[in-house]
Amino acid sequence: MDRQVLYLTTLALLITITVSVLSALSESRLDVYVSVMTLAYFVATAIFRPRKRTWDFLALALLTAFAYVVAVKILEIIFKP
Amino acid sequence: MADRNLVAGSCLAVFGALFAVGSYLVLNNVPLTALGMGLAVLGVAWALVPPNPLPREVVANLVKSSCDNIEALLEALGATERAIYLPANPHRRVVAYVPLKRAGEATLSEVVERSGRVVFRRGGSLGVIVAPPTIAAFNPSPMSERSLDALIEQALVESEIASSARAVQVGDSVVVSVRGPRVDVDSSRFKAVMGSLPACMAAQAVAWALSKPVRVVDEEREGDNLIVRLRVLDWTDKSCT
Repeated sequence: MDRQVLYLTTLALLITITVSVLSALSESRLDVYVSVMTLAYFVATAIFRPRKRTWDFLALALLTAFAYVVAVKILEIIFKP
Repeated sequence: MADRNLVAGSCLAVFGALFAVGSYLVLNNVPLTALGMGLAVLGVAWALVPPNPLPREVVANLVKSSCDNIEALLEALGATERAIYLPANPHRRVVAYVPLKRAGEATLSEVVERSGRVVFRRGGSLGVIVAPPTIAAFNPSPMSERSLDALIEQALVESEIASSARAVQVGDSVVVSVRGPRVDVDSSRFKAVMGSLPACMAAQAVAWALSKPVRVVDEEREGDNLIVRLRVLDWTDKSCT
């Protein structure tokens, strides 16, 4: 199978599994979904290394979202009364 | 013709984003919001993937016919010496200099200055300058200033010539390990002079990455792997001309 098709299929599968499993576990924090989806995206991209028509701004967006989530968590821990 | 990936990916991304916003604001449902975000991510990833302009078989046939033409030229000229791959900056491509008579009367920098011509003659030195099957033919983006590994990756893996490739540089030698070469040529003269197709591609990538002349020293098959040994030459080298 074409590498690009395999990459998109795997990414779709990983996102579906992420949402299904976390919702089955009654997870209600959106940041957990975003973090796991970011991880899924980077894993699929690292494994299949697909060609991109331009620079990967989606990776930057997801990384920024992940960094924001982590930063908020760290601040919560530091400033916890 | 509209780009299928771009249209379908954009539609999915917009639908996913609207679905996520609607689920969050109207339904206040986190799993549905996450599903929408997942669809948006998938849509953008889909839109970012370029469509293959030509099927792999067609590309392979184009490369092989190009190699056949070079083979015919080399056969007619009676070329037997190994080609030297020269990065020709003004034309943003790599050319191959095939020595026909060696007299050591020209440097490789003098050869590359005349890369627009076919025949190179300086005193007793005689050779031809051919355009090898190039990396740029496989990828819409031109070769830019990138690292050795990135260029090897683009030349061999992204162009579907091989399944993976790694390069190790030690002094003036570069060893390229090519795993699972998929496309090659049967032309014996082409192989003897230019190297096998993966070696030819690897030599071009290394020449471009290091901005130095490169020659294929030897190739060795180990099962599904091809080990290509390249030698990096100096621009002032006269022994090859």
